[in-house]
Amino acid sequence: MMKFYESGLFFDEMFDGNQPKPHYRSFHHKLNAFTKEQLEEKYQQAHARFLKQGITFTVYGAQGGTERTMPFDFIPIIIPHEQWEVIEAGMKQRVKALNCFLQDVYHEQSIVKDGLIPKQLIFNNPYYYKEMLGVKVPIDNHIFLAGIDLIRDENGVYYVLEDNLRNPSGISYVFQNRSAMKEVYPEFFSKHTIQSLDKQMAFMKKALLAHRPPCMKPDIEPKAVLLTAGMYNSAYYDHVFLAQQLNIQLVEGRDLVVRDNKVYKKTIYGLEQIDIIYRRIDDDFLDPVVFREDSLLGVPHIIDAYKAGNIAILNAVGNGVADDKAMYAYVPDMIRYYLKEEPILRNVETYHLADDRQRAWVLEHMRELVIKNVSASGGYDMLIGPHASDEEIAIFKEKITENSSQYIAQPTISLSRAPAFQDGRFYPCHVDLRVYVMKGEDIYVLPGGLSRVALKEGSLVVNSSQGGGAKDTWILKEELQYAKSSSRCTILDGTI
Amino acid sequence: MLSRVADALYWMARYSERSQTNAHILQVQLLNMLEQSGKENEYIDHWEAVLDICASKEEYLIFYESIRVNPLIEYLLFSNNNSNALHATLRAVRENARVTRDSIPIELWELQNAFYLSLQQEILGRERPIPLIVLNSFLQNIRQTSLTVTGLIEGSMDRDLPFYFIQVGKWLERAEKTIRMTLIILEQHKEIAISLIEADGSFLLDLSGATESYLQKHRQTNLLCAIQYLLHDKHFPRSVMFCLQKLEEAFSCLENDPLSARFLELHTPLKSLLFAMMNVDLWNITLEETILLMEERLCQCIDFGHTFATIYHLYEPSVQP
Repeated sequence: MMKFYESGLFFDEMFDGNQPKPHYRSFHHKLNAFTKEQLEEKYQQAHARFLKQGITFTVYGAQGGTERTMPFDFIPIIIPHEQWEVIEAGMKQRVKALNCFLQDVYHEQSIVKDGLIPKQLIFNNPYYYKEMLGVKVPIDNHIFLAGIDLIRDENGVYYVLEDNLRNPSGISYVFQNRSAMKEVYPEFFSKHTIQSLDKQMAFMKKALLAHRPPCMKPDIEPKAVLLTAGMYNSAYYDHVFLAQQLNIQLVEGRDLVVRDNKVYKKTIYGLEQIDIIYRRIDDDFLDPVVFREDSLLGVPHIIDAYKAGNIAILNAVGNGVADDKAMYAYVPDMIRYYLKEEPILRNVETYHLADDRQRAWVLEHMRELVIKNVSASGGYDMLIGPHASDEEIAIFKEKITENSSQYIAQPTISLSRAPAFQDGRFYPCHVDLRVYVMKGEDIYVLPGGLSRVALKEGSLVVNSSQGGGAKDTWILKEELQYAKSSSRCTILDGTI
Repeated sequence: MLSRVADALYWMARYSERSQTNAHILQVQLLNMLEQSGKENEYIDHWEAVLDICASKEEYLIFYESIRVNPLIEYLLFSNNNSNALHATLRAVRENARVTRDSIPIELWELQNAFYLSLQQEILGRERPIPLIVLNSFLQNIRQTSLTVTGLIEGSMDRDLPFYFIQVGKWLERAEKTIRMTLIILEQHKEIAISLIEADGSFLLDLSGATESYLQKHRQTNLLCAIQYLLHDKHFPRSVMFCLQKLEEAFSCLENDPLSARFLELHTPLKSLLFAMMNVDLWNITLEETILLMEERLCQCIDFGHTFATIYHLYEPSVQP
């Protein structure tokens, strides 16, 4: 019998007290059939697999960057069907509203005129590009791929923590975690009916090719490429994976050139025109003529070609205005404003520090709050009040006083936990879930997503650059929910 | 195909071939050395030849005072000062495979990657000098991985653009290397009074991995016959003629139309190289003339590489060691 732990005061994905929840029972039962040594061996096998396949990300800092595998934990996050249905609907609603918002702020700006969102929050936003004003994007869609991060509180209620509408990474790990599970831990799959990931990429491809640039002639299949920053980029494996799955060429900035407002790739037979770029480099680096002059990753004059309607760039340029941590607080309002619906998924309460009253309250209650820089990501420039030293609190107080609009505060939520098995033992770790939403003519949510886990015991930071790992995510199919209550399944679960 | 990808495939193949050949040469010399320790002259001569074939003696002498075994091994295998050290060429193979991952079989990338990672783990951290037995098995490993790679490419790659760019890299590198080996051995021979037909060619045959094949067809291992074999034999896969014919085949497949401007631009210099190679008559020229001819052929090969790169808009090597 394996030794686990008590779920305690936290919400645990797998346990109630020391008993597995109904949708984890069969998994728990299987788990008990293994010895610690067997699990340890499987763990090594899975790790070696990731390393050999080069499924690594680059950690900056060390000379030339060091390659690391994303630590993988084999205990999946299992989500029952009816719970997933709610998440799925909430995701679609959210992305739809965010897209309406982006279309609006770069065109009519009615949301500002109607006074729902403070003007300066948009126009002072460093990711709001005036160059994009009035630019028509294909099928009026700004968000081809979004990664929305979800967390659960001590009662198991889901909250949206963050929207990533620029270049959300990690989708390849969703697929690779599943294939590692299938290869190394096949035993766990029996007795479960889960939503398969095979064939999911077909939708992504369809959505990609739906973005025909405005000036393209009808009846021609558009030519698409994936623009990467190159193999030293931390998400290079993601790029390779997507290019392969979408069956498009993986190009770097130096492979492309703009002539007469059209974009060409440099091939062995000379220049060939392309129509759609799924870019995985940030806006700032796209075009050294328009944005950062020192960018070596981009393509000079590509923005001219974009404005001329000769090329589609996905995700659209300027999405950053919608996904920073300050704008986040207004997403529920956007849903009400554009869709006339109530938000399905909750937001975490957010305090704007530019507001004098809110700031004064926050400065008094720093110990209970999380303070975040609105434009930072990856868990950087962030203060977790309950864990912070006096010195850290003082530093953040100063930062807030100096540049209040740059920070927001949120209540600390006791993040849910799930068991992880590392170094031969089970222990509870905090988890979150990044859900991937694809949008072309329709919106589609990848079943499951990337469950990220803070493997350092007690840590709240799940980012891979700071010691986070990943888990497979299983969405149970509807049938099983009915089958589970039948007596046959109960016997197999061994709980009689 | 993107020019950058074509370029990376071409260089991956060249570095892979270079690693394999250099590993073979080093393995031969490390084993020869065991029996030679008494005979000072031959010992130094052989190491000098190996150094010039796998790298450059001049460059070596910038960093080291004299030709001694341990620094030599360090230089040829691991030194950051040597862009053709095995560690550097193997890294270039892996990095080029990494950027062409979507154009080559997954297993090929995994093989190159796993091999490079094991090299990092098992060899680089070791205390120096590394025992001969460990070095030998490391070199053997390089060669075996290369053989598996060749098999994988032959057996599982579509006969399409990526495959032929790999072929061009491999055969061009091999042709150049065989000419270079011959040239270096000939230059060393200048110091010796005996004629080519009296000199022993077995060291050259060993270095080029031709001994087995040669001895099946010939009894005498004099240097003249050995060179003739390495240049002209139609069936030995390391002979220059064989490589050039393979190159011709690859170009016919790359360019379906034998009358296209691109094909003609490539084929004309290749034909003239083939013709010049065929007309080398070793029996009726002096040693100096032979050396001159070999130098000319080597330059022709290098020029041909440039022509190829220009015609297909290749970049400078995308990942250099």
